[in-house]
Amino acid sequence: MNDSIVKPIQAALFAKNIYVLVDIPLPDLAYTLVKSTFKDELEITEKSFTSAKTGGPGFIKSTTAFGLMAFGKGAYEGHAFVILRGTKKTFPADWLTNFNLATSRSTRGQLVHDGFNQAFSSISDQLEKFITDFASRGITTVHCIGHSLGGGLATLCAEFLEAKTRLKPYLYTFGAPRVGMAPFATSLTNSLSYERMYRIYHRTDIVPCVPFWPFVHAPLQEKEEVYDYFQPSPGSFPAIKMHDMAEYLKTIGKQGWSELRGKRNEHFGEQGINRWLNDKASVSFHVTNLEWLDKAISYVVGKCLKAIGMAMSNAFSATFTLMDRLAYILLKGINLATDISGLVLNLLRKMMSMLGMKPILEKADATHAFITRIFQQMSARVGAYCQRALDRVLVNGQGM
Amino acid sequence: MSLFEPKKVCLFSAISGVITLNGEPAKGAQVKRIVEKFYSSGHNTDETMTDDNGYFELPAVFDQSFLGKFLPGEFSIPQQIFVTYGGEEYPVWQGVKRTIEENAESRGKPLQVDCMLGIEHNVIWVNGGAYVTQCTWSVEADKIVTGFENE
Repeated sequence: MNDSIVKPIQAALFAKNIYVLVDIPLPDLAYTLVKSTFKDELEITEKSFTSAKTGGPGFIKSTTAFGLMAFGKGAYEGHAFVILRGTKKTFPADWLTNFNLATSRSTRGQLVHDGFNQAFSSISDQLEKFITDFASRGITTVHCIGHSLGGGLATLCAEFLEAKTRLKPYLYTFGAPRVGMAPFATSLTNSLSYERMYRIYHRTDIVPCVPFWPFVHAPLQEKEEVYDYFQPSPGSFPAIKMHDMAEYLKTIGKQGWSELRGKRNEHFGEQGINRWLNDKASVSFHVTNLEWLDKAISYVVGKCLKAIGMAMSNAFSATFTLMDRLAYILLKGINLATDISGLVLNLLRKMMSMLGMKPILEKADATHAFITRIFQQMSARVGAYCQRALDRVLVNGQGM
Repeated sequence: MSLFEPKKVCLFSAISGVITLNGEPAKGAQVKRIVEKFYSSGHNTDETMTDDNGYFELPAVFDQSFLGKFLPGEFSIPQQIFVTYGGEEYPVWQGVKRTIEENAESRGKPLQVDCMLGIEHNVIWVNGGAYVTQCTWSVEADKIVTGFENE
Protein backbone atom coordinates (compact mmCIF):
# COMPACT_ATOMS: atom_id res chain seq x y z
CA MET A 1 0.00 0.00 0.00
CA ASN A 2 2.83 2.37 0.77
CA ASP A 3 3.92 2.27 -2.84
CA SER A 4 0.69 3.72 -4.04
CA ILE A 5 0.39 6.67 -1.73
CA VAL A 6 1.61 10.11 -2.54
CA LYS A 7 4.52 11.35 -0.44
CA PRO A 8 3.87 14.21 1.99
CA ILE A 9 5.93 16.69 0.00
CA GLN A 10 4.20 15.71 -3.23
CA ALA A 11 0.76 16.17 -1.74
CA ALA A 12 1.84 19.47 -0.17
CA LEU A 13 3.26 20.79 -3.43
CA PHE A 14 0.11 19.83 -5.30
CA ALA A 15 -1.94 21.64 -2.67
CA LYS A 16 0.33 24.69 -2.90
CA ASN A 17 0.73 24.82 -6.66
CA ILE A 18 -2.93 24.34 -7.45
CA TYR A 19 -3.40 28.03 -6.59
CA VAL A 20 -0.98 29.01 -9.32
CA LEU A 21 -2.13 26.42 -11.83
CA VAL A 22 -5.75 27.49 -11.77
CA ASP A 23 -5.12 31.21 -11.40
CA ILE A 24 -3.43 31.68 -14.78
CA PRO A 25 -6.29 33.48 -16.50
CA LEU A 26 -6.06 32.17 -20.07
CA PRO A 27 -6.97 28.46 -20.36
CA ASP A 28 -4.53 27.75 -23.20
CA LEU A 29 -1.65 29.21 -21.24
CA ALA A 30 -2.79 27.50 -18.05
CA TYR A 31 -2.54 24.26 -19.98
CA THR A 32 0.99 25.16 -21.07
CA LEU A 33 1.90 25.85 -17.46
CA VAL A 34 0.47 22.61 -16.07
CA LYS A 35 2.02 20.59 -18.86
CA SER A 36 5.47 22.08 -18.42
CA THR A 37 5.38 21.75 -14.64
CA PHE A 38 4.13 18.17 -14.39
CA LYS A 39 5.37 16.76 -17.68
CA ASP A 40 6.65 13.57 -16.08
CA GLU A 41 3.90 13.00 -13.55
CA LEU A 42 0.56 13.94 -15.00
CA GLU A 43 -0.86 13.03 -18.32
CA ILE A 44 -2.38 16.09 -19.83
CA THR A 45 -3.78 16.40 -23.30
CA GLU A 46 -4.73 19.72 -24.76
CA LYS A 47 -8.05 18.51 -26.06
CA SER A 48 -9.42 17.36 -22.75
CA PHE A 49 -7.97 20.36 -21.02
CA THR A 50 -9.72 23.10 -22.84
CA SER A 51 -13.01 21.51 -23.78
CA ALA A 52 -14.90 21.32 -20.56
CA LYS A 53 -17.94 19.64 -22.07
CA THR A 54 -16.22 16.46 -23.11
CA GLY A 55 -15.43 15.53 -19.54
CA GLY A 56 -12.25 13.67 -18.81
CA PRO A 57 -9.27 15.25 -17.13
CA GLY A 58 -8.78 19.00 -17.04
CA PHE A 59 -9.64 22.01 -14.99
CA ILE A 60 -12.57 22.17 -12.67
CA LYS A 61 -14.04 25.62 -12.59
CA SER A 62 -17.15 26.91 -10.96
CA THR A 63 -17.91 30.16 -9.25
CA THR A 64 -16.98 28.71 -5.87
CA ALA A 65 -14.37 26.04 -6.51
CA PHE A 66 -11.35 25.51 -8.70
CA GLY A 67 -9.27 22.49 -9.27
CA LEU A 68 -7.50 20.08 -11.52
CA MET A 69 -8.42 16.52 -12.46
CA ALA A 70 -5.65 14.49 -14.03
CA PHE A 71 -4.38 10.98 -14.62
CA GLY A 72 -0.94 10.02 -13.41
CA LYS A 73 1.81 8.56 -15.53
CA GLY A 74 5.19 6.99 -14.98
CA ALA A 75 5.31 5.89 -11.36
CA TYR A 76 1.67 6.97 -11.04
CA GLU A 77 0.25 5.05 -13.95
CA GLY A 78 -3.24 3.92 -13.03
CA HIS A 79 -3.70 6.77 -10.55
CA ALA A 80 -6.14 9.64 -10.77
CA PHE A 81 -5.71 12.98 -9.00
CA VAL A 82 -8.24 15.57 -7.94
CA ILE A 83 -6.59 18.68 -6.53
CA LEU A 84 -8.87 21.39 -5.20
CA ARG A 85 -8.97 24.89 -3.82
CA GLY A 86 -11.73 27.30 -2.90
CA THR A 87 -12.15 30.41 -5.01
CA LYS A 88 -12.02 32.81 -2.11
CA LYS A 89 -8.51 33.97 -1.49
CA THR A 90 -9.30 34.71 2.11
CA PHE A 91 -11.38 32.47 4.29
CA PRO A 92 -14.91 33.85 4.67
CA ALA A 93 -15.28 35.06 8.25
CA ASP A 94 -18.93 34.33 8.62
CA TRP A 95 -18.35 30.67 7.80
CA LEU A 96 -16.07 30.42 10.76
CA THR A 97 -17.58 32.33 13.57
CA ASN A 98 -21.29 31.79 13.24
CA PHE A 99 -22.40 28.95 15.47
CA ASN A 100 -25.79 28.43 13.89
CA LEU A 101 -24.42 27.29 10.60
CA ALA A 102 -26.67 25.86 7.96
CA THR A 103 -26.20 22.22 7.11
CA SER A 104 -27.17 20.10 4.15
CA ARG A 105 -26.78 16.48 3.04
CA SER A 106 -23.58 15.11 1.54
CA THR A 107 -23.36 12.40 -1.16
CA ARG A 108 -23.97 9.73 1.46
CA GLY A 109 -26.75 11.70 3.10
CA GLN A 110 -24.73 12.98 6.05
CA LEU A 111 -25.03 16.44 7.52
CA VAL A 112 -22.26 18.74 6.41
CA HIS A 113 -21.56 22.45 6.36
CA ASP A 114 -23.79 23.93 3.69
CA GLY A 115 -21.16 26.37 2.44
CA PHE A 116 -18.69 23.61 1.65
CA ASN A 117 -21.43 21.40 0.28
CA GLN A 118 -22.68 24.04 -2.13
CA ALA A 119 -19.17 24.68 -3.37
CA PHE A 120 -18.69 20.95 -3.85
CA SER A 121 -22.05 20.53 -5.61
CA SER A 122 -20.93 23.10 -8.15
CA ILE A 123 -18.16 20.76 -9.34
CA SER A 124 -19.71 17.32 -8.80
CA ASP A 125 -20.99 17.13 -12.41
CA GLN A 126 -17.45 17.57 -13.68
CA LEU A 127 -16.20 14.89 -11.30
CA GLU A 128 -18.94 12.59 -12.48
CA LYS A 129 -17.67 12.94 -16.05
CA PHE A 130 -14.11 12.42 -14.92
CA ILE A 131 -14.87 9.07 -13.30
CA THR A 132 -16.55 7.69 -16.42
CA ASP A 133 -13.02 7.26 -17.81
CA PHE A 134 -11.75 5.35 -14.78
CA ALA A 135 -12.63 1.86 -16.01
CA SER A 136 -11.21 2.20 -19.52
CA ARG A 137 -8.08 3.76 -18.09
CA GLY A 138 -7.59 1.02 -15.55
CA ILE A 139 -7.57 3.47 -12.66
CA THR A 140 -6.89 1.63 -9.42
CA THR A 141 -6.05 4.50 -7.10
CA VAL A 142 -7.48 7.97 -6.66
CA HIS A 143 -6.08 10.83 -4.62
CA CYS A 144 -8.02 13.86 -3.33
CA ILE A 145 -5.81 16.74 -2.24
CA GLY A 146 -6.46 20.24 -0.92
CA HIS A 147 -5.46 23.04 1.44
CA SER A 148 -7.82 25.17 3.53
CA LEU A 149 -11.24 25.38 1.84
CA GLY A 150 -9.76 23.14 -0.83
CA GLY A 151 -9.15 20.57 1.92
CA GLY A 152 -12.81 20.79 2.89
CA LEU A 153 -13.78 20.24 -0.72
CA ALA A 154 -11.29 17.37 -1.07
CA THR A 155 -12.95 15.71 1.92
CA LEU A 156 -16.36 15.88 0.23
CA CYS A 157 -14.73 14.75 -2.99
CA ALA A 158 -13.32 11.64 -1.27
CA GLU A 159 -16.77 10.74 0.02
CA PHE A 160 -18.24 11.32 -3.43
CA LEU A 161 -15.66 9.15 -5.20
CA GLU A 162 -15.99 6.42 -2.60
CA ALA A 163 -19.75 6.37 -3.14
CA LYS A 164 -19.65 6.58 -6.94
CA THR A 165 -16.74 4.27 -7.79
CA ARG A 166 -15.39 0.99 -6.50
CA LEU A 167 -12.26 2.69 -5.30
CA LYS A 168 -11.30 3.80 -1.85
CA PRO A 169 -9.81 7.26 -2.32
CA TYR A 170 -6.81 8.60 -0.46
CA LEU A 171 -7.47 11.95 1.13
CA TYR A 172 -4.76 14.52 1.89
CA THR A 173 -5.70 17.79 3.57
CA PHE A 174 -3.63 20.67 4.90
CA GLY A 175 -5.16 23.05 7.43
CA ALA A 176 -8.66 22.04 6.41
CA PRO A 177 -11.74 23.22 8.29
CA ARG A 178 -14.28 20.84 9.78
CA VAL A 179 -16.63 19.70 7.09
CA GLY A 180 -19.41 17.81 8.77
CA MET A 181 -20.99 16.57 11.95
CA ALA A 182 -20.01 13.45 13.83
CA PRO A 183 -22.11 11.06 11.69
CA PHE A 184 -20.37 12.35 8.56
CA ALA A 185 -16.95 11.95 10.15
CA THR A 186 -17.83 8.44 11.35
CA SER A 187 -19.24 7.41 8.02
CA LEU A 188 -16.23 8.72 6.11
CA THR A 189 -13.75 7.20 8.55
CA ASN A 190 -15.49 3.84 8.22
CA SER A 191 -15.73 3.88 4.45
CA LEU A 192 -12.22 5.17 3.68
CA SER A 193 -10.51 3.88 6.83
CA TYR A 194 -8.34 6.29 8.77
CA GLU A 195 -5.16 4.89 7.21
CA ARG A 196 -6.15 6.54 3.94
CA MET A 197 -6.82 9.91 5.52
CA TYR A 198 -3.83 12.22 5.78
CA ARG A 199 -5.05 15.21 7.72
CA ILE A 200 -2.12 17.50 8.37
CA TYR A 201 -2.70 20.52 10.57
CA HIS A 202 -0.66 22.87 12.69
CA ARG A 203 -1.73 23.07 16.30
CA THR A 204 -2.12 26.83 16.08
CA ASP A 205 -3.63 27.07 12.61
CA ILE A 206 -6.95 28.77 13.14
CA VAL A 207 -8.86 27.19 10.27
CA PRO A 208 -8.94 23.59 11.56
CA CYS A 209 -10.41 25.02 14.83
CA VAL A 210 -13.56 25.98 13.01
CA PRO A 211 -16.47 25.73 12.52
CA PHE A 212 -16.83 24.89 16.21
CA TRP A 213 -18.64 21.84 17.53
CA PRO A 214 -20.89 20.04 16.40
CA PHE A 215 -18.66 20.09 13.34
CA VAL A 216 -15.84 17.61 13.83
CA HIS A 217 -12.87 16.42 11.86
CA ALA A 218 -12.59 13.13 10.08
CA PRO A 219 -11.00 10.76 10.86
CA LEU A 220 -12.76 10.67 14.20
CA GLN A 221 -10.29 9.81 16.91
CA GLU A 222 -12.51 7.83 19.17
CA LYS A 223 -10.17 4.88 19.24
CA GLU A 224 -6.60 5.01 20.49
CA GLU A 225 -5.16 3.49 17.33
CA VAL A 226 -6.61 6.20 15.09
CA TYR A 227 -4.07 8.88 14.33
CA ASP A 228 -3.91 12.09 12.39
CA TYR A 229 -1.05 14.32 11.33
CA PHE A 230 -1.11 16.90 14.08
CA GLN A 231 1.96 19.14 13.85
CA PRO A 232 3.17 21.06 16.88
CA SER A 233 3.49 24.78 16.21
CA PRO A 234 4.60 27.47 18.63
CA GLY A 235 2.34 29.47 20.96
CA SER A 236 -1.03 28.97 22.60
CA PHE A 237 -3.01 31.15 20.23
CA PRO A 238 -4.04 30.52 16.67
CA ALA A 239 -1.87 32.39 14.20
CA ILE A 240 -2.84 33.21 10.65
CA LYS A 241 0.66 32.53 9.45
CA MET A 242 0.49 28.90 10.46
CA HIS A 243 -2.31 28.42 7.96
CA ASP A 244 -0.12 29.29 4.99
CA MET A 245 0.68 26.44 2.64
CA ALA A 246 4.29 27.69 2.67
CA GLU A 247 4.44 26.98 6.42
CA TYR A 248 3.05 23.50 5.90
CA LEU A 249 5.73 22.83 3.33
CA LYS A 250 8.40 23.95 5.77
CA THR A 251 6.99 21.72 8.50
CA ILE A 252 6.80 18.71 6.24
CA GLY A 253 10.21 19.05 4.65
CA LYS A 254 11.34 15.67 3.47
CA GLN A 255 9.65 13.67 6.21
CA GLY A 256 7.67 10.58 5.40
CA TRP A 257 4.14 9.92 6.64
CA SER A 258 5.33 7.71 9.48
CA GLU A 259 7.55 10.51 10.76
CA LEU A 260 4.75 13.05 10.58
CA ARG A 261 2.20 11.13 12.58
CA GLY A 262 1.90 10.47 16.26
CA LYS A 263 3.31 13.85 17.28
CA ARG A 264 0.63 14.48 19.79
CA ASN A 265 1.38 14.05 23.47
CA GLU A 266 -2.21 14.01 24.57
CA HIS A 267 -4.47 11.11 23.89
CA PHE A 268 -8.02 12.01 23.25
CA GLY A 269 -9.19 8.53 24.14
CA GLU A 270 -11.92 7.78 26.65
CA GLN A 271 -9.50 7.74 29.57
CA GLY A 272 -7.93 11.04 28.63
CA ILE A 273 -11.28 12.75 28.20
CA ASN A 274 -12.53 11.42 31.53
CA ARG A 275 -9.37 12.63 33.22
CA TRP A 276 -9.73 16.08 31.66
CA LEU A 277 -13.42 16.30 32.60
CA ASN A 278 -12.92 15.16 36.17
CA ASP A 279 -9.91 17.34 36.86
CA LYS A 280 -11.13 20.03 39.24
CA ALA A 281 -8.41 22.54 38.39
CA SER A 282 -9.65 25.58 36.54
CA VAL A 283 -8.91 25.70 32.85
CA SER A 284 -8.04 28.68 30.73
CA PHE A 285 -9.29 29.48 27.28
CA HIS A 286 -6.63 28.43 24.85
CA VAL A 287 -6.21 26.25 21.86
CA THR A 288 -5.35 23.00 23.63
CA ASN A 289 -8.28 23.27 26.03
CA LEU A 290 -10.59 24.12 23.16
CA GLU A 291 -9.54 20.93 21.48
CA TRP A 292 -10.14 18.97 24.67
CA LEU A 293 -13.51 20.60 25.11
CA ASP A 294 -14.42 19.72 21.59
CA LYS A 295 -13.60 16.05 22.09
CA ALA A 296 -15.30 16.07 25.48
CA ILE A 297 -18.57 17.45 24.09
CA SER A 298 -18.62 14.79 21.37
CA TYR A 299 -17.84 12.12 23.92
CA VAL A 300 -20.43 13.20 26.49
CA VAL A 301 -23.17 13.74 23.91
CA GLY A 302 -22.37 10.32 22.47
CA LYS A 303 -22.67 8.74 25.94
CA CYS A 304 -26.01 10.46 26.56
CA LEU A 305 -27.41 9.38 23.21
CA LYS A 306 -26.34 5.81 23.77
CA ALA A 307 -27.91 5.76 27.22
CA ILE A 308 -31.20 7.22 26.04
CA GLY A 309 -31.18 4.95 23.00
CA MET A 310 -31.06 7.59 20.31
CA ALA A 311 -28.85 7.40 17.25
CA MET A 312 -26.57 10.34 16.53
CA SER A 313 -28.00 10.63 13.04
CA ASN A 314 -31.49 11.07 14.47
CA ALA A 315 -30.40 13.44 17.16
CA PHE A 316 -29.45 16.14 14.68
CA SER A 317 -31.66 16.61 11.70
CA ALA A 318 -31.17 19.24 9.05
CA THR A 319 -33.93 21.32 10.56
CA PHE A 320 -32.86 21.13 14.19
CA THR A 321 -32.33 24.08 16.38
CA LEU A 322 -28.95 22.98 17.50
CA MET A 323 -28.96 24.59 20.93
CA ASP A 324 -32.36 23.17 21.78
CA ARG A 325 -31.43 19.68 20.72
CA LEU A 326 -28.15 19.80 22.53
CA ALA A 327 -29.71 21.07 25.74
CA TYR A 328 -32.41 18.44 25.48
CA ILE A 329 -29.91 15.61 25.07
CA LEU A 330 -27.64 16.78 27.88
CA LEU A 331 -30.57 17.35 30.20
CA LYS A 332 -31.71 13.80 29.54
CA GLY A 333 -28.20 12.71 30.43
CA ILE A 334 -28.20 14.64 33.68
CA ASN A 335 -31.45 13.04 34.72
CA LEU A 336 -30.19 9.53 34.17
CA ALA A 337 -29.45 7.65 37.34
CA THR A 338 -25.98 6.68 36.17
CA ASP A 339 -22.51 8.18 36.21
CA ILE A 340 -23.38 9.90 32.93
CA SER A 341 -25.21 12.46 35.01
CA GLY A 342 -21.97 13.45 36.73
CA LEU A 343 -20.13 13.46 33.43
CA VAL A 344 -22.54 16.00 31.91
CA LEU A 345 -22.33 18.19 35.01
CA ASN A 346 -18.54 18.08 34.87
CA LEU A 347 -18.64 19.06 31.21
CA LEU A 348 -20.80 22.08 32.03
CA ARG A 349 -18.51 22.99 34.95
CA LYS A 350 -15.53 22.80 32.64
CA MET A 351 -17.22 25.11 30.19
CA MET A 352 -18.10 27.53 32.99
CA SER A 353 -14.49 27.50 34.08
CA MET A 354 -13.28 28.23 30.57
CA LEU A 355 -15.77 31.07 30.38
CA GLY A 356 -14.27 32.55 33.54
CA MET A 357 -17.24 31.66 35.72
CA LYS A 358 -17.03 29.93 39.10
CA PRO A 359 -17.72 26.29 38.23
CA ILE A 360 -20.30 25.80 40.93
CA LEU A 361 -23.20 23.84 39.56
CA GLU A 362 -25.72 21.55 41.16
CA LYS A 363 -27.95 19.16 39.31
CA ALA A 364 -31.04 21.27 40.00
CA ASP A 365 -29.42 24.37 38.45
CA ALA A 366 -28.79 22.68 35.13
CA THR A 367 -32.00 23.64 33.40
CA HIS A 368 -32.62 23.65 29.68
CA ALA A 369 -32.25 27.43 29.62
CA PHE A 370 -29.02 27.27 31.60
CA ILE A 371 -27.40 24.69 29.33
CA THR A 372 -28.44 26.61 26.24
CA ARG A 373 -26.96 29.79 27.69
CA ILE A 374 -23.62 28.16 28.51
CA PHE A 375 -23.34 26.79 24.99
CA GLN A 376 -24.31 30.10 23.46
CA GLN A 377 -21.72 31.89 25.56
CA MET A 378 -19.08 29.35 24.60
CA SER A 379 -19.96 29.76 20.96
CA ALA A 380 -19.78 33.54 21.19
CA ARG A 381 -16.50 33.21 23.02
CA VAL A 382 -15.01 30.97 20.34
CA GLY A 383 -16.18 33.42 17.69
CA ALA A 384 -14.64 36.34 19.55
CA TYR A 385 -11.49 34.31 20.10
CA CYS A 386 -11.09 33.67 16.40
CA GLN A 387 -11.79 37.31 15.69
CA ARG A 388 -9.20 38.39 18.25
CA ALA A 389 -6.61 36.15 16.71
CA LEU A 390 -7.43 37.74 13.39
CA ASP A 391 -7.36 41.24 14.84
CA ARG A 392 -4.01 40.60 16.41
CA VAL A 393 -2.69 39.71 13.03
CA LEU A 394 -4.26 42.82 11.57
CA VAL A 395 -2.64 45.02 14.19
CA ASN A 396 0.73 43.37 13.95
CA GLY A 397 0.53 43.57 10.22
CA GLN A 398 1.88 40.09 9.76
CA GLY A 399 0.23 37.02 8.64
CA MET A 400 0.66 36.34 4.99
CA MET B 1 4.51 49.74 12.19
CA SER B 2 1.83 51.92 13.70
CA LEU B 3 -1.22 50.37 15.23
CA PHE B 4 -3.61 51.47 12.54
CA GLU B 5 -1.47 51.20 9.50
CA PRO B 6 -3.23 49.07 6.93
CA LYS B 7 -1.75 45.87 5.70
CA LYS B 8 -0.34 46.61 2.27
CA VAL B 9 0.38 43.96 -0.33
CA CYS B 10 1.91 44.29 -3.76
CA LEU B 11 -0.30 42.83 -6.50
CA PHE B 12 1.93 43.68 -9.43
CA SER B 13 5.35 45.32 -9.18
CA ALA B 14 6.37 48.31 -11.23
CA ILE B 15 7.22 47.03 -14.67
CA SER B 16 9.07 48.66 -17.52
CA GLY B 17 10.66 47.48 -20.71
CA VAL B 18 10.80 47.32 -24.45
CA ILE B 19 8.29 45.61 -26.71
CA THR B 20 9.34 44.41 -30.13
CA LEU B 21 7.76 42.58 -33.03
CA ASN B 22 10.17 40.69 -35.30
CA GLY B 23 13.05 42.63 -33.79
CA GLU B 24 11.51 46.04 -34.49
CA PRO B 25 10.29 48.26 -31.65
CA ALA B 26 6.51 48.23 -31.33
CA LYS B 27 5.88 51.99 -31.47
CA GLY B 28 2.65 53.34 -30.04
CA ALA B 29 1.45 49.93 -28.90
CA GLN B 30 -1.26 49.87 -26.28
CA VAL B 31 -0.20 48.07 -23.09
CA LYS B 32 -3.07 47.02 -20.88
CA ARG B 33 -2.54 45.51 -17.47
CA ILE B 34 -5.20 43.66 -15.47
CA VAL B 35 -4.56 42.42 -11.95
CA GLU B 36 -6.93 40.82 -9.51
CA LYS B 37 -7.43 42.41 -6.12
CA PHE B 38 -6.74 40.52 -2.92
CA TYR B 39 -8.91 42.03 -0.22
CA SER B 40 -11.96 42.49 -2.37
CA SER B 41 -13.30 41.02 -5.54
CA GLY B 42 -12.68 42.67 -8.86
CA HIS B 43 -9.74 43.85 -10.87
CA ASN B 44 -7.40 46.78 -11.20
CA THR B 45 -6.88 47.84 -14.78
CA ASP B 46 -4.44 50.40 -16.11
CA GLU B 47 -2.82 51.05 -19.45
CA THR B 48 -0.14 52.98 -21.24
CA MET B 49 1.40 53.39 -24.71
CA THR B 50 4.89 52.52 -25.85
CA ASP B 51 7.11 55.36 -27.09
CA ASP B 52 9.06 55.42 -30.33
CA ASN B 53 11.56 52.93 -28.92
CA GLY B 54 8.84 50.50 -27.93
CA TYR B 55 9.46 51.45 -24.30
CA PHE B 56 6.72 51.43 -21.67
CA GLU B 57 6.43 51.65 -17.92
CA LEU B 58 3.67 50.98 -15.45
CA PRO B 59 3.76 51.70 -11.71
CA ALA B 60 3.40 49.13 -8.94
CA VAL B 61 -0.15 48.13 -7.96
CA PHE B 62 -0.95 47.65 -4.31
CA ASP B 63 -3.94 46.54 -2.33
CA GLN B 64 -4.52 47.35 1.29
CA SER B 65 -7.03 46.82 4.00
CA PHE B 66 -7.68 48.41 7.38
CA LEU B 67 -10.60 46.53 8.77
CA GLY B 68 -11.61 44.44 5.83
CA LYS B 69 -12.12 41.00 7.17
CA PHE B 70 -8.57 39.95 7.44
CA LEU B 71 -8.58 36.25 7.37
CA PRO B 72 -6.27 33.38 6.71
CA GLY B 73 -5.84 33.01 3.00
CA GLU B 74 -3.37 32.15 0.31
CA PHE B 75 -1.96 35.10 -1.58
CA SER B 76 -2.35 34.06 -5.21
CA ILE B 77 -2.84 36.96 -7.58
CA PRO B 78 -3.60 36.54 -11.28
CA GLN B 79 -1.73 39.08 -13.41
CA GLN B 80 -2.22 39.83 -17.10
CA ILE B 81 -0.70 42.15 -19.65
CA PHE B 82 -2.11 42.44 -23.15
CA VAL B 83 -0.36 44.40 -25.87
CA THR B 84 -2.39 45.63 -28.82
CA TYR B 85 -0.25 46.40 -31.83
CA GLY B 86 -0.96 46.45 -35.52
CA GLY B 87 -4.57 45.55 -34.87
CA GLU B 88 -3.70 42.41 -32.99
CA GLU B 89 -3.83 41.64 -29.28
CA TYR B 90 -1.00 39.67 -27.70
CA PRO B 91 -1.23 38.08 -24.21
CA VAL B 92 2.40 38.84 -23.37
CA TRP B 93 2.15 38.24 -19.64
CA GLN B 94 -0.03 35.74 -17.76
CA GLY B 95 1.23 35.28 -14.26
CA VAL B 96 0.37 34.45 -10.68
CA LYS B 97 2.14 36.30 -7.88
CA ARG B 98 2.41 34.23 -4.70
CA THR B 99 4.25 36.50 -2.28
CA ILE B 100 3.25 39.97 -1.08
CA GLU B 101 6.58 41.73 -1.53
CA GLU B 102 7.27 44.33 -4.16
CA ASN B 103 9.46 43.07 -7.02
CA ALA B 104 8.88 39.45 -6.04
CA GLU B 105 8.60 38.76 -9.79
CA SER B 106 12.31 39.56 -10.14
CA ARG B 107 13.63 38.59 -6.70
CA GLY B 108 13.82 42.15 -5.39
CA LYS B 109 15.35 43.81 -8.42
CA PRO B 110 13.37 46.29 -10.53
CA LEU B 111 11.27 44.37 -13.04
CA GLN B 112 12.67 45.33 -16.45
CA VAL B 113 11.50 43.20 -19.30
CA ASP B 114 12.04 42.58 -22.99
CA CYS B 115 8.87 41.38 -24.66
CA MET B 116 8.73 39.87 -28.11
CA LEU B 117 5.27 39.82 -29.57
CA GLY B 118 4.17 36.63 -31.24
CA ILE B 119 6.87 34.30 -29.92
CA GLU B 120 6.02 31.11 -28.13
CA HIS B 121 5.20 31.58 -24.45
CA ASN B 122 7.80 30.62 -21.89
CA VAL B 123 6.97 29.22 -18.47
CA ILE B 124 9.01 30.53 -15.58
CA TRP B 125 8.53 30.00 -11.85
CA VAL B 126 9.84 32.73 -9.54
CA ASN B 127 9.28 32.95 -5.77
CA GLY B 128 6.58 30.29 -5.89
CA GLY B 129 4.65 32.13 -8.58
CA ALA B 130 4.52 31.23 -12.24
CA TYR B 131 4.57 33.34 -15.39
CA VAL B 132 3.60 32.22 -18.85
CA THR B 133 5.03 34.99 -20.91
CA GLN B 134 6.56 36.39 -24.07
CA CYS B 135 8.82 38.58 -21.95
CA THR B 136 12.24 37.85 -20.54
CA TRP B 137 13.92 39.53 -17.60
CA SER B 138 17.02 39.03 -15.58
CA VAL B 139 16.05 36.62 -12.82
CA GLU B 140 17.02 33.24 -11.55
CA ALA B 141 14.08 30.88 -11.94
CA ASP B 142 12.89 28.60 -9.15
CA LYS B 143 14.02 25.07 -9.52
CA ILE B 144 10.77 23.30 -10.28
CA VAL B 145 10.18 20.92 -7.43
CA THR B 146 7.15 18.72 -7.75
CA GLY B 147 8.19 16.32 -5.03
CA PHE B 148 8.39 13.54 -7.59
CA GLU B 149 12.14 13.82 -8.03
CA ASN B 150 14.42 10.82 -7.50
CA GLU B 151 11.72 8.30 -8.09
